[in-house]
Amino acid sequence: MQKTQHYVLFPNHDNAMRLYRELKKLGVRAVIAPTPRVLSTCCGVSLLVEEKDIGQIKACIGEHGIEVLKIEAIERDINPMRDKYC
Amino acid sequence: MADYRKMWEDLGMDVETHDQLCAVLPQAFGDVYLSQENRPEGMDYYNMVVADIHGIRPAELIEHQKKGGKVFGTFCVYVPDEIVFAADAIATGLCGGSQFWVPGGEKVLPTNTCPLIKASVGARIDRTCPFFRIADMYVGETTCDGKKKAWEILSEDVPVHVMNLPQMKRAKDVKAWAEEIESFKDVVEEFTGNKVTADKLTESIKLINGKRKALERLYETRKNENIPISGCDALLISQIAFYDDPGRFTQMTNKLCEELEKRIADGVSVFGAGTKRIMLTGTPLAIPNWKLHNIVETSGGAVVCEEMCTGTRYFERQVDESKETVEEQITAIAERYMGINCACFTPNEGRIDDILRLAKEYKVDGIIDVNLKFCNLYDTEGYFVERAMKDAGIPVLGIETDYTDSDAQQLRTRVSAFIEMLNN
Repeated sequence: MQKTQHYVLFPNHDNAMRLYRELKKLGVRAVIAPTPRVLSTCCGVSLLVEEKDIGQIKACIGEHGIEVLKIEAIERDINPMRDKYC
Repeated sequence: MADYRKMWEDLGMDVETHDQLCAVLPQAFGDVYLSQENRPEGMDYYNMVVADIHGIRPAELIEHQKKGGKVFGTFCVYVPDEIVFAADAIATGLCGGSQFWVPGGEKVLPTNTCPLIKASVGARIDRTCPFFRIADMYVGETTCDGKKKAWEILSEDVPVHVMNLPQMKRAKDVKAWAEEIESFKDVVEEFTGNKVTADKLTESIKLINGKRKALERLYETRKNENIPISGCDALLISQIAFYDDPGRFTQMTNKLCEELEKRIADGVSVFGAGTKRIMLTGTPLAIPNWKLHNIVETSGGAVVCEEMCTGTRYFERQVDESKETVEEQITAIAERYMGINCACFTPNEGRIDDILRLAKEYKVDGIIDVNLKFCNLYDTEGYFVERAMKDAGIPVLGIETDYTDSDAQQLRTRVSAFIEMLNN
């Protein structure tokens, strides 16, 4: 299924975990996920978030001085029947 | 998105080729894991471990080495981590579960070697896995002929110590294994420069038992009628258990279990009512081998248990914590590890007993006996497994597979038909 997903990208996993913890305190949904290839050529941690929460997430980032690289939306095809493993 | 390229280059890795693995991981992970509905929140920790699997933990191991510590790479659930940690060293799993590493292994191994061995050797030879670069010493064992020869090849490139695992379970074999653990202790002491004392062993036995108890608690939740976690997720946790810091892993797994136990109390299941409960038996599924679990769970089944090295064989039974001398502790360790029922033993009726017991405990509707291609031991033992299940009236499907995607559609057809049969 093709759908738009929003990822917060970080310079390192420490900042990802900081934002993750702060968002959990606020009750904002965030899923820790590997950074999609189109957003980075390096393995790494990013946060998958919902579009409606982005304003609140930006405020949280500013309030706690968390370092992020960017928040990016991508069209992503997640298909459990694809059977392409690694 | 931390950039670990410098670390990988310093480790002498082939970073360009390694990038190809990094390229496919997010999509495969997304398909298998991020597609799931209602995943437990506690799975975020394991997501993080996978997302930076070649970054975070390798960096920790390198820090340990900078402080003078040693890292031992292991390939089998028979190698006693307790000895390694008692010498202030770290044990880390090295089993390869990706087709990405297989061609590298085939450069030096016969094609008709199991993919797990080929991938493990390929990861070292092609310099495409940081764990294989970091480990100061590899610890092999004699659990199959393919591995025995693989250690000889690897030992030309890296220090390897091989533990001679007896292949029968008589009292004298348990004694022989205790002696082998004693010799391993001597090797570890000499290599690290640290003495393995009774106090240190007491500590490490508790540390590793703690990990086993956390995994046991996780599996206990899967026995429930409402299954609070998918088999894919449980497999991922088992796979990560081999690599992660044991103390942190125990803490995070216990935290997840609290969430799962609450789900059980609230009647929450990640599967619809009546989903057929499947147990997988057989050869290990090393990370990132998620193929069969994903196929089962997208074909109308729920994997509720793995009678595998990446499953119950890894955590069942504890080492006796009451022993006070090193000699007694080593005997206790030997007894615990010799209780694991691997197909390398003869006879191995204990494994059939385990499968029958687990089938009852996890209330399974059917069993899939999985064999990694060219694993002669498990393939042959499949005869007894399938016969015993038929005698017990438990439907069983025997499957042989490898790490490639090429048989996925065929597997889907067979697994779907099997589950369809269970439904009728």
